[in-house]
Amino acid sequence: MRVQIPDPKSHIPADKKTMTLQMGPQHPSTHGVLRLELEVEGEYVAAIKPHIGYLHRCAEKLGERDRYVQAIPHTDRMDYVSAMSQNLAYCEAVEALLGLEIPLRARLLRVLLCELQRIASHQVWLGTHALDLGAMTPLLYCLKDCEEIQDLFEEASGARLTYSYIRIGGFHTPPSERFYTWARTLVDDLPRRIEMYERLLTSNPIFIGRLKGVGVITAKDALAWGLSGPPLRASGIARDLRVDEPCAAYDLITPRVKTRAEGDCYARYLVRMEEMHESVRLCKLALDALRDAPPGPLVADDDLVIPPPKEDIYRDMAAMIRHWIIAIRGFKVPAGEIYRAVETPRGELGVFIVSDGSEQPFRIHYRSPCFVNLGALNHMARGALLSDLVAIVGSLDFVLGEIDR
Amino acid sequence: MDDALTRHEARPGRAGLDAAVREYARDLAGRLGADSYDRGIIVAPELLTDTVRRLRAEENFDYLRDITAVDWLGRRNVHGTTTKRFDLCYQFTGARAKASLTLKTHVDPGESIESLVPLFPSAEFLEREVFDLFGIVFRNHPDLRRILLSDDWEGHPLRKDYPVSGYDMWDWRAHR
Repeated sequence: MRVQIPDPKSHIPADKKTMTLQMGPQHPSTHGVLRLELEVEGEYVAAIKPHIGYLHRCAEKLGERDRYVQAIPHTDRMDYVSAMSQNLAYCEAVEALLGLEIPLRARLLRVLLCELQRIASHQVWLGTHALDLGAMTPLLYCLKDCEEIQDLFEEASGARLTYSYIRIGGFHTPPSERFYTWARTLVDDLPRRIEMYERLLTSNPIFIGRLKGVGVITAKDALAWGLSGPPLRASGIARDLRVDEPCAAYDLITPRVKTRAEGDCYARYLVRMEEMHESVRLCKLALDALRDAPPGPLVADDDLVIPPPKEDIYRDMAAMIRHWIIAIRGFKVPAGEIYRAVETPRGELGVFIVSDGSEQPFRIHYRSPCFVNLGALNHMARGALLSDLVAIVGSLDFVLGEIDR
Repeated sequence: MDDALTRHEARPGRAGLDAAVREYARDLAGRLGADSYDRGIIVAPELLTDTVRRLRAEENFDYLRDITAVDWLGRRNVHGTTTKRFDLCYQFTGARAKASLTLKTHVDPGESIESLVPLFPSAEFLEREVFDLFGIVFRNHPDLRRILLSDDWEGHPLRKDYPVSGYDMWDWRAHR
């Protein structure tokens, strides 16, 4: 008996000139589970349809179910490469709704931690981006140095990746004295290492050849497509929320915004490298300011939001009751809404919270920088070579946990 | 103790204190024929595109930061201005704009709203997300498909009547 085998190409229109190619979700250069549905014409990419959602956990719905404090671990797991900045964005938004005054020491420590996090995140980006382009060595150096920053964070928070260290009102425990001396040693040593990465890559002809003139986006288009973070600044727009809408102590420790005019992948590389140097400078300023700041608690003075210190809980009956009330019932937040955005290593992370006056947020929304940047990928990479698409995806520094939330 | 816990409701909070934004929003709303509240303006859904075009041309709001929605199922929304179910919230800013501004409009489940993609291409993904998670339809959107969930997903998870565990949770009691 003859079996009729259907023609596998029967569903393709005869006049179709392009081929559909699935890149991902297991493709190594997408650094996560991103699927790009490509229409390729020979070696050239005619259209890109990103398919996302493989990591979707609906952190926004879970945030509505839980009390305010309980949403902090969700923010860790959104962008797991820069969890500290995500904690900061969420806590700043809730603190603004509550009207809490954060002590100076806590604000300075937030700047220090978030700038160290920016360096660590850029190190991970640099290593993997260079690996995508065929350079193996930078990955090993970058990950080794990133591990050291994680060791430092472990000393402060007890965790290496998902810290939940920044809490509403301040910090859950003050870091040890050893943390400050260690941070000073590390920060003093970082410029040497960043210069080493630059020696490895900045004037490397293969690296330049793969990146220069690839994935160009003009300043006008970058604004229209809502790019943020280093990709926007690499197109010549000096928009940095640390300067425009300063949170924590960024009004005291102001970064110098680095921009490039070219708007290509190489410009994005240069902007991030300059940002790493700038972050080292900010870390030093923050450490100096922390040394000079008067000693004091790292949490706001508000007995309805902040649980009492642990030693009081064991000694004082009233403190123990207060601890239990805050732990079990949470705290009420005045009715209203807020949109608060923070410059994370990837761009503008906005947190939109609507409160109805109860202990649970009525609505939390996270505006993810990678999600919006991904929307511009088709515009940037259409017409590029397939191998250049890897460079463009790498230069936009996607973290899929944040895109899918 | 209960008394102490409710003390927060009397506190103004920093969100309501930004007098400059409130003044600016009131002034802007007067010029655009819209309502204002302390963080932005509220427009009728049919005036959305015109208002956004004027905001961009006259007030230099050239950067669309975010689009999202809020579901007020079964209760009055925070402004008490409408009985419609969804608030759509657009966040705008610009390097030469006076402030960051929220633009709000209201829709009901059966209605649709004009897409902002012709004005701001960044709205493409953001509107797809709102469509996916709230089921709000945007007219003239070039590619209105689900984005975070799979195409055959049932329901819209961020609606308040959608259970956290979903509709098709596997019931272990039935399989004991």
